[in-house]
Amino acid sequence: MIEFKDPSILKALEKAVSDTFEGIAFAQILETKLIQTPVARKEGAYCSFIELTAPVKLRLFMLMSHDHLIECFSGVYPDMDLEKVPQEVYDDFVNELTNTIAGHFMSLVCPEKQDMVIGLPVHPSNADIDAGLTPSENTTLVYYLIEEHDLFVSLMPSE
Amino acid sequence: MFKRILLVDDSLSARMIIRQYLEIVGCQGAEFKEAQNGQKAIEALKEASFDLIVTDMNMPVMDGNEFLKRVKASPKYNRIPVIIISSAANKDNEKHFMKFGANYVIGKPVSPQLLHEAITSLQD
Repeated sequence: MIEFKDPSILKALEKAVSDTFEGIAFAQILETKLIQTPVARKEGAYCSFIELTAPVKLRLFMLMSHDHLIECFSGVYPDMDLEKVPQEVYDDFVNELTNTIAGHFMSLVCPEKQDMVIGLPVHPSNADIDAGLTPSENTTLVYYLIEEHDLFVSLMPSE
Repeated sequence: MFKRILLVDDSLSARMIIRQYLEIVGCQGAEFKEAQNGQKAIEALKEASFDLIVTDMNMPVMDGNEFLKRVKASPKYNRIPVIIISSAANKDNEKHFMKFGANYVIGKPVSPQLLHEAITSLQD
């Protein structure tokens, strides 16, 4: 059973987030903070969650701002006309970022010689988003300042 | 130089990123065929020939694990080199995939340098 507030777990999560955004956008984490109070849903933000099913069962949720996503995307595709990119591609991109963070996190926290099973990323409902942004005894919500952008990642038990 | 590459990943943006990196690291001029899962990739293999497969692991319908096993079990396809790109790559997974015939395992986010090393090594 993973203790979501265990320092080693939070360190692994930070490394997963850091490696992902450094790899995608050469962006660094400037600040990390455990959030103790609910965060309001952000208009236009991109969110995704993924269920990790083995050897641990938990959900990893991520929220990033529209501007942050566009900046990351344009970093990968500097020559692309962003206005011509279909919405589904941006939705898919945030799913892929969440998938990358989740897989990397899992590989850091899980004991070796254990099979890792990761679900597919899911576009969350408003209820899922609210749950993801509400810290509790069972839900750990972490804020990261990545360059100038706010990123929220939470861990909670799988349903 | 690889001329026909089968790129397998359920994520459209992942396919776009990997394709772009492959073109940067020495596969410019290659023809790419994209498949969203292992099942679609098997269908693509039946319709055309490829000299490189780059595949994700975590996909719906048929995941990369099953796809890899089928490719390596087939006398027709088992000589095609396979690069695995996985979000959950660790040493044990890597050994597992190599045991089933993968040539390289690269974790996500993909490092262009590691991809370059893999491509260069496979082309030699």
